[in-house]
Amino acid sequence: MAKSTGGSSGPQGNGSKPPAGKGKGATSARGRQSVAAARRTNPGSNRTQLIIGSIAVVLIAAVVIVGLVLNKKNNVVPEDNYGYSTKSTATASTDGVITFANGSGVTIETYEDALCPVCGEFEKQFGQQMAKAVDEGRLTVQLHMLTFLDQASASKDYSTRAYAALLAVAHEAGSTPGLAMKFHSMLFDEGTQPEESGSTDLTNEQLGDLAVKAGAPASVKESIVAAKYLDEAKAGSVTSSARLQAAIGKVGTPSILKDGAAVNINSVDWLSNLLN
Amino acid sequence: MDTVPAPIGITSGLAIFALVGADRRAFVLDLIGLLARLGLAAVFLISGVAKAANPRETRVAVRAYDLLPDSMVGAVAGVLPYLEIAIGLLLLLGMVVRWTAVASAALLLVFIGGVISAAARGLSIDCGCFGGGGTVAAGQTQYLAEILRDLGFLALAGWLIVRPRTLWSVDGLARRDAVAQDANA
Repeated sequence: MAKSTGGSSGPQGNGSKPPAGKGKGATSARGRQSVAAARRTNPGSNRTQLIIGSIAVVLIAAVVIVGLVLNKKNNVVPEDNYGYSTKSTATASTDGVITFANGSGVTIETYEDALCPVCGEFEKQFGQQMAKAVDEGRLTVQLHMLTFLDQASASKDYSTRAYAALLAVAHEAGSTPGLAMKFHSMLFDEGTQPEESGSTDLTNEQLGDLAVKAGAPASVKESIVAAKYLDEAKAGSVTSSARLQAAIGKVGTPSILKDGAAVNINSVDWLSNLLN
Repeated sequence: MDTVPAPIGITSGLAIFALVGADRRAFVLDLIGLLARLGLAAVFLISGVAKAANPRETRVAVRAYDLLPDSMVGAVAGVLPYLEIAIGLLLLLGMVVRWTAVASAALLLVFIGGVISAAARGLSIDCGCFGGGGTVAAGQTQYLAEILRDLGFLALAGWLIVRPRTLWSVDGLARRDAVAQDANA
């Protein structure tokens, strides 16, 4: 099926492709002009382009719709409406790890920075499910707070101070059911967690007020305002950073480890799968 | 000389050394177009898949720009990755290349604007969540690199807008079809 002949077609010709032989430069340029002219006017060409365009639109729509369906599934908040933990207790180890538990159950390690926005999203989506599982004695959470976003806070040390406040609650009122885990969740609540690179964050006074609001006695607030556990927080974040680096080869938050290996928290079912 | 068959598509690719003058020039331009198209397709497919795989980070990243009302963040963060994947697929196949390139350029301009605005406000868009504190400190230079990189991608899109003809594209099949119909007319 020879599609074209060369040499004789001008701008008004029938759109033939030019030949490839030597010395046909000028001729082939004319030939291409005629092809272009034909493409502009040929109804068959328009119809083909319309078909391609329609297929393209359908393809875009299909990809976006499939994506939105997947996205909707992944944005589900498990155990929504459970609220804060009510039964867990908290203990703080000498190297700054805070353990939330009510009995035993599956043990996970969580790594978070109080300023990290993705941690905020993570807590908003899974905080209630974790609280419920801990309250039911099916889950033990070993919380490792990191502080590498200090410099991105308005006060340049918010991550460390929030961690120190959490240590104060855990050390001094950790046996109060639900309290420390509730305070931890509140730190990430919408409207409470400061913005990364924002113009304000919480003072120690405000962190103390938040602890009291969670149910802590005034003495805990005094410890927070006095920055009693600041050095412990600094040391704890160094230890935890090193541990996370060794386990997964990078320091990123939020990270969840189970038996020293990273858990894929992009799946909405990650915790249900661990509990079952 | 009236019956020399015209080389088209892959045939012309193999026959490059037989081509001279305008033919050869057109082939080289088509080849550059192909590289631009595939390069841009790779960019959108990779970034779209990465965003789709990390919906939480995408949402935070979109929110961090602080350019959208909170009610729209979820929708934009949900659609964006798949829009990128769709554009990547169209570019890969070479369908409606000029319009896809226009859409790519528009999206890239939005990204560049967002990054410039974020850099100007001293935000750390990737939240420093990976790589520790150094990420924040190095923020400024990364923004510059991101902008330059996006400008490079924009150049690819620009090429395809000006000259959407590329080798091995669905559009090319349609063109060939048109030429054939025309020749038979």
